[in-house]
Amino acid sequence: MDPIISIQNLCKFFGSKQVLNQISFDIMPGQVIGYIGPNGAGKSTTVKILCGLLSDYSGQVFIKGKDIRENPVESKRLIGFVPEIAELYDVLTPSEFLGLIGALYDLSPETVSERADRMLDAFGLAGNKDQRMDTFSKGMKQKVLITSGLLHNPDIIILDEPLSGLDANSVIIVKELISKMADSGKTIFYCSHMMDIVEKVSDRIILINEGVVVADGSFEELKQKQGDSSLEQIFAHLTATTSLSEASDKLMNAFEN
Amino acid sequence: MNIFDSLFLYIYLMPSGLYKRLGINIVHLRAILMAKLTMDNRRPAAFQQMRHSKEKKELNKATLKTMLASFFMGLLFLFAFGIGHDLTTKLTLFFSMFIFMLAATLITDFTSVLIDIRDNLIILPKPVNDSTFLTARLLHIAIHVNKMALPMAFPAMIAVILISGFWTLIPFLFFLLLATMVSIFLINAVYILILKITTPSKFQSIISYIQIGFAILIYGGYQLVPRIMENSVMKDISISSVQYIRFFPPFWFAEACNSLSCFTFGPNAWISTGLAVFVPLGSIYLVMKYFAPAFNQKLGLINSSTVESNKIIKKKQGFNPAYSRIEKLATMLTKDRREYMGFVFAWKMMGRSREFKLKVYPAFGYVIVLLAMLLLKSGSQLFSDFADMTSKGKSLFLMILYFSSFILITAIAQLSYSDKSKAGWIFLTAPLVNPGNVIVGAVKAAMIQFYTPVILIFTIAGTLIVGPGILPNLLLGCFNVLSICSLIAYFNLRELPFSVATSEAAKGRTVIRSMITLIIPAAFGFFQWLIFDYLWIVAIFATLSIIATWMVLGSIRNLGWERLGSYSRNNAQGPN
Repeated sequence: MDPIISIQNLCKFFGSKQVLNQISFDIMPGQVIGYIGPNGAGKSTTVKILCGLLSDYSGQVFIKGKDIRENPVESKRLIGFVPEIAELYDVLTPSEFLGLIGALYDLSPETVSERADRMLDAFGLAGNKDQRMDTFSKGMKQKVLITSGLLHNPDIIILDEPLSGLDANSVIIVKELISKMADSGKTIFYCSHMMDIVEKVSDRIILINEGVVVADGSFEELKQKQGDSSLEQIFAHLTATTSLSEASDKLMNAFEN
Repeated sequence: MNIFDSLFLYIYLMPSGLYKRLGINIVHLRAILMAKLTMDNRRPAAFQQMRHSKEKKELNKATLKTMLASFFMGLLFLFAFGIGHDLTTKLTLFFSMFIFMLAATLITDFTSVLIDIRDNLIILPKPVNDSTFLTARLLHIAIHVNKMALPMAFPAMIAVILISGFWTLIPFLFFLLLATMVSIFLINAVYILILKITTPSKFQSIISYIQIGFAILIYGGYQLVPRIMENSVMKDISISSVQYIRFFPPFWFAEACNSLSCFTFGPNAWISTGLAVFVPLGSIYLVMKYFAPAFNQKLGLINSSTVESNKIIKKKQGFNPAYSRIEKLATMLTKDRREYMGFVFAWKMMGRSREFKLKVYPAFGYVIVLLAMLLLKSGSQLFSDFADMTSKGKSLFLMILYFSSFILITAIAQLSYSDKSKAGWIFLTAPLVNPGNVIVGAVKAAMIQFYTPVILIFTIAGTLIVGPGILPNLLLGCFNVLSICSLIAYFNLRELPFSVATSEAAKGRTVIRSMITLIIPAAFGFFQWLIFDYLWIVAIFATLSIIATWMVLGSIRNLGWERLGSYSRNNAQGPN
């Protein structure tokens, strides 16, 4: 089977600062990738390159065998992207916003409204679809955003912290949705800081630190290699520069005279 | 979308065959433009931003309102057609005002049209090709400009037909289009200049200062123009006789338009026509080729956090003497830590919040414009009126003194509102016994920040022109203003500083109430006019006024939680 996403020797500089350093990995169809790393490790930059938002990098990125730089529009068609911060035009209503997104993916208005209705209904937003989103809570906006990313039934779904602001029930819905989509052959690229969820949903975890891949494998493999019991511990073990308990000790000592 | 948007969209999408040949996806183009126009319609536009931003959520007709406002602005331009005896003079005046006003109006909200940072995450990850996205942006700008420029020029179009016949309209419309290009060039030039001399993060605050200046200018314009019209000399001016007028672009448009309408071309007219056509085209080429790419890049930085955070670190390392001065002042003027905190907090927020400045700073301008009007009206022996304190001088002095309270009243009225109002939870969770402590600190900060400069100016000007004899009356006037403002704060300011959403600002402040607010200083002024010459009585009342201010501030300090609007609101809703 050919990889659906293939990244080779990816390097990226912002000015003189190197954000990504020789990143290479292949992703097979149907895999759920947990892409994790500390703040500033280069996660968002990787995502932006995969979504075709940044093109001044060195190395190569292929989506379904095609170079993303040469076919940006075709590659974007295969990807559904749910950005991290609830970035949407919030003076629009969900119907209007999803109508815009649907048109950009060349879906017919009928398909858009049918799918949007069903998905919003599943998220419990059926009654809000004609209200302006500037009155929505963070969780409601996030649900609209997830809907907008899945609307065109993409093969690859890139989720950047998709559960932020969602209530516990919605978290369960999205978690199950992720595994069902993977079962139906879709590839999920999941970026998050919530280690317990990454541990559960992903069948492969890629950990990057300072622009370099420091671990790559299933949770079981990582556990065997590192000898730690949870992903949280593995993460701390591989990325923390100073002792974390020392840091919390310092915090406690701040109260003393 | 309203009928105008639909019409513009229809017109701009007409050459769809051409667009297709350029590789533009019409479906995408239409979808993006429709979404953008719908959003514009719901966005409070430049004219509304000052007064009506509280209606933000309900503002569904922003486009129509903006067009109507532009139309009224256009009516103001009609006075140009009453000046001078030839068409060139009238049109030169018209084009100068048109270019200036269009540029000034557009400059304030052009950034949101020119670049919406959300596009980067919403539209760019979608399979939209670059030329479609670029065209959508350009057409959006074109439609946006049209919505301002057409209604603004509409009254003038009628005037041109009436004065010079229907056929003049054709060259007039043509040069109107070119004048619009010059306006866009001007805006871009100003933007580039601002970005050159400062950082992108300061860009927005400089734009809001321009907005404030613009509001004052419009106000001044409406006050001044009718007065100029009364002057009959203006009717016989011919602009062509003015030296160096040939270097002034509006003159080119006017002369070219005039020549085309009567088909008489002197050698000068040829030069003007050539300049009127090629300079705008050249400038718009410059904008597209060099300016636009430069800011796309720079404006993108406005929201980037990395640039900001680096700077903050640098600032903190240096010691800033200005703050310690404020803190010393606060220690002197406040009674306890909480009041001190309210003072320092409000001082910094008033100085830094763009929204607050946008609402309050124009008040300075209005006062200055009104003063200028008063002084102009009262004629030439004004100085001696003041020096001798004739009855006219007296009333003018008191009018100026009491009208200046408008600044402080505006500031106090805005003290509770902020677009970051949710951050006000800090006051609610902190163990404050009396919120009045914080409020009184904030009121004092507003008084010092917005009224001490006024007092200083009055004292210096008064002593120089009238002599020290004016001081008791000045003291009484200033403290009356302060006690009135404390009273207004006591009755109206039932919220913690900067803790109420701006959208709440509409509630509870009726027109009648704010009219009554303005009557109070007038009543005090009249009273002082009665006792003006009896210095002993003035001195007694000045003492009483100081005591009253002190007591009212004390009452604000004692305001308990149960008197606050937010407290009763929270309790009505129950625990949340």
